[in-house]
Amino acid sequence: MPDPGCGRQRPLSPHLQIYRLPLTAKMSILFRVAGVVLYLTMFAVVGLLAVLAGDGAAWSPVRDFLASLEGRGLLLLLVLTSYYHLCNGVRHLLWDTGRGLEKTSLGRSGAVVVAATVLLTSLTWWLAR
Amino acid sequence: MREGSRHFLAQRLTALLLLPLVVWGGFALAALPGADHATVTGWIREPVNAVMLALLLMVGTIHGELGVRVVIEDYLAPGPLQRWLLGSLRPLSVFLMTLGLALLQRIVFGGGT
Repeated sequence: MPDPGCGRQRPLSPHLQIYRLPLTAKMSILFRVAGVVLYLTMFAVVGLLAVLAGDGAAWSPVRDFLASLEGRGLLLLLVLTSYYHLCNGVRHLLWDTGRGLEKTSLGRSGAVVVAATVLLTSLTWWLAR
Repeated sequence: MREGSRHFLAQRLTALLLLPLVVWGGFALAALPGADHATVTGWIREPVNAVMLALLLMVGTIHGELGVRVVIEDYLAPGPLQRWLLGSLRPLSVFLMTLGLALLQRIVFGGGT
């Protein structure tokens, strides 16, 4: 009876609990997480509009929260998320044209995206003060 | 055009449209800390900002729905939960967009200062 592969070294797929994901893989899943977060952020933005459509009294607790350390941190994180999704999205658009798909350029463009995200976030946060 | 191609093209077209809108939105979020009611509403009433916000709400919702659809399809096993989420996504997006635009309309054209 033929032995279906027993005793033979068979390739294993990466075991996600112990396999250290390369930068490209981490960036890929973060891109999707960021996208979902931004969709949910739109609900928060519409919530802000609902409060703003009311009077100043309704806005003041929201203003106080947004001025607090936690509120500022949250906003900074959302700006970072937006720019990350934007920058990595541009990377995806370039891939769609067939460019930059070699292994070496994948790592390089990944690093560019991370740097651009941090740069654009800092610049925006600094300019908008 | 097949459904897959339509999704692919719509996702990328909305992505291109969102490039300037998201940069604008990033600045808007970063400027929020400490802004009082009159400042924010006054800023939204400026025509450029009102138009940008309306476009961001519309294009962002469409792009978001396209993306979240794929995430649900990829990470949830086919079954009642996946079907229910996929079925709710369109009504949820329509709700998000119309409520957002209605509120924006009220802030921009509503009475009071």
